[in-house]
Amino acid sequence: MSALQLQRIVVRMLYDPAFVAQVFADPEAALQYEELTAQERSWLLATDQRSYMLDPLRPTRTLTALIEEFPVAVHQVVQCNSSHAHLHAFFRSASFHRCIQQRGSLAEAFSMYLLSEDLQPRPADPLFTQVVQLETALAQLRRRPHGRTSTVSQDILTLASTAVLLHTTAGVLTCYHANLDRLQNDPDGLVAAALKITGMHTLQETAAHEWLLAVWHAETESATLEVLPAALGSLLATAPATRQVLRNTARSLGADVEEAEDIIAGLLADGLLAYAELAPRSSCD
Amino acid sequence: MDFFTRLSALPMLGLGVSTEYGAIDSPGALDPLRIHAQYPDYVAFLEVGVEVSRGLDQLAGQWVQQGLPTTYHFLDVNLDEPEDLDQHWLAAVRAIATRLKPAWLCGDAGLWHFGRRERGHMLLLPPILTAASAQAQAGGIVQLREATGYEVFPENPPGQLFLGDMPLLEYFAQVLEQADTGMLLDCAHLAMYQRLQGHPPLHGLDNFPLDRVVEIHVAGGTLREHEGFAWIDDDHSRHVLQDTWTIFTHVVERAPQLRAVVFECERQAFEVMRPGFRRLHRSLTQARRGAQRA
Repeated sequence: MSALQLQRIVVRMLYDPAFVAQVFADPEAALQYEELTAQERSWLLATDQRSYMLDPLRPTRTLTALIEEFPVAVHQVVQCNSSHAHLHAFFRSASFHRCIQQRGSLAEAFSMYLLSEDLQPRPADPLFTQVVQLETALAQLRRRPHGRTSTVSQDILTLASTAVLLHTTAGVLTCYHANLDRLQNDPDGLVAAALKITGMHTLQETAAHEWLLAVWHAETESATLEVLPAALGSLLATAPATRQVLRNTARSLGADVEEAEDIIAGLLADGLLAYAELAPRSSCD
Repeated sequence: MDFFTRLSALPMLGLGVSTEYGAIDSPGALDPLRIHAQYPDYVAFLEVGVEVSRGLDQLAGQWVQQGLPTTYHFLDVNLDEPEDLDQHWLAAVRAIATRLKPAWLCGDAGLWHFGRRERGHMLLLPPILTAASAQAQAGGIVQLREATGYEVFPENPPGQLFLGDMPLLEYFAQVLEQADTGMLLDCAHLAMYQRLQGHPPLHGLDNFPLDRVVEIHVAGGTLREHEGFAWIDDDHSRHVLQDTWTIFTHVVERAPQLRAVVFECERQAFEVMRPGFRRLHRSLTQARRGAQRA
């Protein structure tokens, strides 16, 4: 195993006291899936077990950063479970351990954890999954490197890297904003508010859907969210596609030939569509 | 050009202080610009701790505007992780360095963040002390030096957990030799390590290439205990531990290429830290005189 892989096991131990206890009690079982040499295992065990517990607030600090990105989803978890215990259990989850060991994104791992069976509201609530997806999209936008210059296709158009399109139940955005506003205006601050048991706005049952567009604005380092007209959402959902396919889609949605081209050109000019990059993005994307 | 030849181009910075984004906003924190104006020998330069995602704060901007000397202390790169030195980050480092015009880059050669460089991923752990890890650190140092055009000096990180089969000083001696570079020796971090290993403060320094030490850090620390396990919190508090002074005094007299000493007390009041500044300045001046006589 490389030093970096071994170091990642140390990181997991620093966050998960239960894992530390397992490693020291039964290293064979606790580390059975890690490709550790006997010597590397002995290094882990040669350290004082207490030295892994010197910063008990480390998970809380990390959780705070995650709650800042998933405030409404976390708030809903707290309402359903009447406690924060499920949130701290993230650091014992497979999502967390896999993320650390594979150099992943903690926000993505937390999103997966929120969507896991254990955290699903009972009875099922369609708002929860969609809020997690929405906040995950915002987290992804914050992390994408924007403004890269790389070789681009001359005929494939795609949604810009600064935008994410979501198809949700009608009313999700209104409900999300109502809940977020309340959390943001809480005198104790966003994170503390997300952890309070106060009840929340719920989604009215409906079969209707709507397109949401999240756009990242580098100059303000913030995202805007808006409901799109249905035809525009359907058109953007066609991407990535050739310009001709997008024109045809626009026409099928009611535009004439000239309007279809104008719409595509307008979306390119507005930066919502972009020519697809040919070179793969770097690993930090 | 080898390190000792390149070294001749580096300035003598003297005694300085460290800062990081927003540190000056801590209640009662010393103001480097004000102290520089009153005691230029105590704060001759500013070591700016930088995360490229945050950039430079107002203090760093004002310091730079006055054309005063700086060093760039990175807080966001794992030198032994090749994918961490991505083009996006390197471009941001170059842009900040263009503003700071630092004498050199430096920073802890440890794990600054797990996984990708993202919010919530930050921590600081020492490297795994093996020959392969030392080689990887050296590779990162060379890569960063070539990508920025600045000298890059690794610092021994703090820690309460050291894994591997090499003593810390032997590990860094290998890093320095393989990267052909100089060292930022943090005396407080070394004191933590020595105590954790049950060694006296100066253990292993006789065989360490002190002629590669370019910069020294001195900082306060707090003795803590967790379920009977004694450890030192590297909290840059007002109390510099005796072990740290012992290491500093030993090294400052034996490091012929020493260019800079940083007193890491960015969140403390100057009046409280003044005796420490006086002591550091006196030792540095005496060491320089001694070197000139030699």
